[in-house]
Amino acid sequence: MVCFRLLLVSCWVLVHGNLQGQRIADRYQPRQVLDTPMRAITHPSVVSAAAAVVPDNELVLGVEVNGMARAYRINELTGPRREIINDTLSGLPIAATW
Amino acid sequence: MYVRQVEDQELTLRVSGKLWMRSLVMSDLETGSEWAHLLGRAMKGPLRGKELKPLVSDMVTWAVWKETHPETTVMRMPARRTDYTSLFYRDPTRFVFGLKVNGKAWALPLADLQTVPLLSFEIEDQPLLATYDAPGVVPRLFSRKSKGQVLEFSQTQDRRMKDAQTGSIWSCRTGRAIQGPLTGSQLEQHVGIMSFRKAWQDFHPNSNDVVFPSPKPDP
Repeated sequence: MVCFRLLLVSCWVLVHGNLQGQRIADRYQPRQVLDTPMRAITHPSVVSAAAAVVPDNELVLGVEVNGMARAYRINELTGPRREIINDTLSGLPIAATW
Repeated sequence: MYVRQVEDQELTLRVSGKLWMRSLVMSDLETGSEWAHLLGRAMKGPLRGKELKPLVSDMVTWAVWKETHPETTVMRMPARRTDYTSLFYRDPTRFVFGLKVNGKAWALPLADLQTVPLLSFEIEDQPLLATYDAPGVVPRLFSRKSKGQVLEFSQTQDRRMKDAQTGSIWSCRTGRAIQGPLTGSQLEQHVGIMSFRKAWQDFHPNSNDVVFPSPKPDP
């Protein structure tokens, strides 16, 4: 039992040490979880703050570019189909994602 | 939140269908390169090694955002969920507010920010300030340099702070001076990323926590 634990600890030290030392880029090993990529979302529709119906305590991701502000409700930015929004704010191409 | 542009080439990003370390991998339509979401770095494909510029963004309640940005627009799509409210952070030990200075990663534990809502600190000679506004769940990160001088801040009341050098009063939320000699000055905001501690650590294995002062004992 003690031997087994020692073995486990040494494995952990080896793996952990390697992770720390090795450049993260060299360890890129993604896992395919969906058969195909999701359709890109572009040109989302927006409304003014006055026209929006959003509960006050709901979380949003807010961004400001050259004095122009836009908010994305986290509840709308969730799930594989919606995780990235390609938008443009004050002429700057941005990706709303969190 | 990223600028989706690399060397003047605009990119259209999408969910690639892959995960790396349980985290999203994005791909761009233009080159097919694969991007680690939390790093904003292309890991594979023609743009490998390139990085997307992160944009300052605030994860904040709608009430606070519209109060500080009355002219804001809001994306409109059918909401898919309802559970992302200020209650999302009810277990603060699971979250950090991550930052990078000269390429090195640091983390401000959310639980510490909640007990010390105004923290002046320094990383690699850069004087920084973290503020935390509990009702709106808003951590923000600012530079403490203003017009060539380094400022020291203390909290006054009502989400305001005062600098020791000029006595000006500032908003903790916006980093803008609202009273005193520096009125109208704006502290430069730095990118900070609210992240699950585990994910931040996975992608930044050498990240260190910013050390907070221990709480003062009760008198």
